[in-house]
Amino acid sequence: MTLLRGAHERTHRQIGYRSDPARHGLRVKYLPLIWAALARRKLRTILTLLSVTAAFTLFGVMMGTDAAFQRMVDVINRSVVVIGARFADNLTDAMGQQIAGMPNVAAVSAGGGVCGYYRNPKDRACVMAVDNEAGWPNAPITAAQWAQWRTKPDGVFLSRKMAAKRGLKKGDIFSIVSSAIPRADGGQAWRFQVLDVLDDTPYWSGGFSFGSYQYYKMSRPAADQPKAGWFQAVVKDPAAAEDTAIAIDARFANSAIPTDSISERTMRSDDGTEIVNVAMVTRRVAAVGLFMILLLTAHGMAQSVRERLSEFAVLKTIGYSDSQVIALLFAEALAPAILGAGLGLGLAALIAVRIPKLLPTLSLPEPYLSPAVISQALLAVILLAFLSVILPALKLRRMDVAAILAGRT
Amino acid sequence: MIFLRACLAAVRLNLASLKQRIWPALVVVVGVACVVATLLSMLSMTVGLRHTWQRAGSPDRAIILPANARQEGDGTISRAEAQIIKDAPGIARDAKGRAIADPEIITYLVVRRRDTGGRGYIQLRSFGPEGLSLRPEFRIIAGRMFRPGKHEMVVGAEAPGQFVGVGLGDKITMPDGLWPVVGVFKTNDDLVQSQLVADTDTVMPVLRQTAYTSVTVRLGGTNALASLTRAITTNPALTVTAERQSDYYKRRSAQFSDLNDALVYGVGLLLGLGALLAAVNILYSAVMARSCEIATMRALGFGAAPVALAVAVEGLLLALAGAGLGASLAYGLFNGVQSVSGNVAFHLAISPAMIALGFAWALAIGLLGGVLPALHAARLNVADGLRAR
Repeated sequence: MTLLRGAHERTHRQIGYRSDPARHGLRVKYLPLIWAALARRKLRTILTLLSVTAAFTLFGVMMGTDAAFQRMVDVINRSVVVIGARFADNLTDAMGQQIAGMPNVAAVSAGGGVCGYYRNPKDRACVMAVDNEAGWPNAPITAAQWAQWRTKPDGVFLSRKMAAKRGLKKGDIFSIVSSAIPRADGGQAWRFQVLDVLDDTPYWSGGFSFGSYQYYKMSRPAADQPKAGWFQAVVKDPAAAEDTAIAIDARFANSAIPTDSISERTMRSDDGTEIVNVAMVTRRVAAVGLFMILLLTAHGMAQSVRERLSEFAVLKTIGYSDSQVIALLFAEALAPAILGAGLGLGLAALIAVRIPKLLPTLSLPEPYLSPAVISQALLAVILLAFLSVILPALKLRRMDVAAILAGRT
Repeated sequence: MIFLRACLAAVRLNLASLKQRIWPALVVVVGVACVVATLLSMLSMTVGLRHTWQRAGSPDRAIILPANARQEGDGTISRAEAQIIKDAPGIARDAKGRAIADPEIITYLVVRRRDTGGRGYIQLRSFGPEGLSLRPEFRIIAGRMFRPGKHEMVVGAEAPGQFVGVGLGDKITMPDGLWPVVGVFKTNDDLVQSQLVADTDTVMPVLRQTAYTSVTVRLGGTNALASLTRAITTNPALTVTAERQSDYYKRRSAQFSDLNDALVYGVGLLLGLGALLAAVNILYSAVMARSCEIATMRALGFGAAPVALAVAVEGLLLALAGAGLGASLAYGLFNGVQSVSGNVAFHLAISPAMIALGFAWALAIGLLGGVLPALHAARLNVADGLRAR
C-alpha cells in the first residue's frame, strides 16, 4: 500500500497545484511511488540493474572502439595527399618538385623512415624523418616545437608511450640499428637525440618518433640522397584532394616510377577496415547486448504490472489519468536502466584504459567514450525504457477498473 | 527409487506449467540464443582466419628468411646467398640431384577492394622452377599456368572475391605494362589463395628487384631442419634463419589470433553474464508465481530436493533450447561466409567443437541461473505458500 500513500498525499496538494513550490513538492511526491515499486522486489531490481550494467559495459567498449577509429579519421583535415611509389621503389626529389608545380598543390614535403631496432634486436623501432612543417598540417605539433625541431638536425620528438617503453627522457640518445637504409659512413647505427617527450595524440595512435629529413638525407650515401620514401602534398582546395591524387598518379603513370597517391583522410579510413571490418563487428555485438536487455526489462515491466494491476486500478479510481500512470511506469523502467547504463559506461571507461595493453599487437586504439557514444547510450536507455513499457501501458489503458477492484480478473 | 520417481514427477509438473509461462521462458531462450550466436559468430571469425594462415604451412617444408625479418617480404636474400642456401644439407633433392628449394619474392600491388571500394593491397608471390614441385597442393582450376618468361600471372581462387580487376582474363598493372591473368589456382584453402603468382625470373627485373625475400625448401633426410639450421647459421656468408614452415605460419597467426581470442571470450563472458542475470531473474519470478503450486506439491509429500531439482532442470532445459537456437542461427548465417582480414580472405567456419563450446556456455548459464531460484523453491514456507494467491 506504499503506492497509495503517495497518491493520497497528492490529492491534498491539489489545491496548491498552481503555485510553484507546491508544484515542485508534487513532483517530489512521485519519487516515493517509484521507489516503492522498485524496492518491492529488491532482487528483481538488482538483477535488472546488473544485467543493464553488463550490457552497457559492452556497449561502451564496443561503440568506444568504433568511435576511437572514427576519431583517428576525424582528426585529419582533407588537405593532405600522401604520395608513395606504386611498386616497391623510392621516389626522387625531382618528382617532389614536379608535384609542387601541379595545380591545386600548395606545398610538398618529403618523408623517410629509419626502421631497425633499439638495443635489443626484438625491440623494433622506427624514426620518421619529415622535411618541413608545411607538409604536416595535421600533426599536432606547436609552432614552438617545430622551431625547436629546426634547430637540431639529429633531434627527435618521442611520444610519451614510445619513451616510457624504453625508459627514455629529454636529452637521451636514441640510437637505431638499421640495415634497411644504408649510411654514407657504411655503419648501421643511426644516432638521434631526444629533443623532448610529447603527449600521445589520436593522430598517431600507436605513438610517434619523428626527426629531421635533412639529417636523414645527409647521412645517406650521395647516390641515395635524392631518394625519398614518400611525399606529402598540401592542397589549396581540400574538396579536390582526391582529384589531385588522381592527377598526380596520372602524371607519373608512364614514368620510371609510377606513384600511388591518396588523400590522408581516405588512407586512414581504409586502414580502419584493414584488420577486420571493425565497425561491423563492434556495432553488431553492441546491438545484440542491447536487444537482450530490452527483452529482459520488457519482461520485467510486464510482470510487475501484472502483479500490481489492482493497485493501478486504485490509482486510476482516485483520479490518476492514464498518462500519469504510464509516466510512473516509464520512470520505473527508466531508473534502473539509467543507473545501470551509468555504471556500465563507467566500467567500460575503466576497461578502455587497459585495452591497448591487453591487445598490443592488434593495435586497437583505446576505446573513446565520446560525447556521441554517451548520448547514444542515453538514447538507447530511453528507447529501452519506452519500448519495455509499451505493452504494459496498453494493458493498463484497456483494463477494466471495476472488475479488477472487485477481484473479478 | 522413490526419490527418483518424485524428481521425475516434479520435473513433469514443472514443465507442464511452462505453457502458461511461455513468454518468460522465451525470454530466457532468446537471451541465451543471443549469447551463443554472438560467441559462435566471433569464434568462427578468429578460427577461420587462424586456419587460413596455418594451412599454408607444411611440416616438411622450411622457410628461410633474412635474420632481421619479422615476416615474408621483410629484408632481402641475394642471389649469391640463395645459391649457398641451395647447397646446404637437410634439403630434399630431386632425381637429378637438384635441391628442391625455391627462392621467391613477395610484394604488394595496389588494387581496389570489392567491399569498401577503397584501396587494397594484393600480395604478388613468385614461383621459380621448383615452385610447383615444392607445393603439391597447388593446382590450376581454370585457365592455365603462367609460362616462364612470359609477362602473365595466375590468381588465387579467393582473390577475385575481395579485389576488383584481378579475375581470369583481367589485366594487372605492372611497371612495364599490363599483365594478363591467365589462370585461377587453388592451394590448401590457405592465404596463398588470396594472392597472385608469377614467374620469379620474369617478375624480378620488371619490379627492379635484385634480391629475393625468402627461400622455401623441402626438408629431406634425418634431422633435416637441425642440420639445415646449423649449416646456414654457422656460415659467415649468410645472415638468415630457417624455420619449419608450419611453425612459421603458426607463430605468425598466433600474433593476432591469441588476442582475438581474448576479445571473443571477453565479449562472450560479458554477454553471458547479462543472460545469466536474466535467467536468474526470470526463474526466480517463475518460482514466486508458482509458490502456491510448489507449496501444494510440498504438502502432498514431495521433498524439498525434487522441487528444487525441477526448477534447476527447467533452467537447464531453457538454456539448452537457447543454445540450440543460437547455434543453428549462427550456423545458418555465418558458416562458410567469406570474410576478409587485411589482404587475406577466409571463410567463417563453425565446427562441432565450437558448437559444443556454445552449449557448454549455455549449460553454465542454465546451471548457475537455476541455483538461486531452486534454493528459494526448496526453502519456501509451505503454510505461506498455500495462502499465496
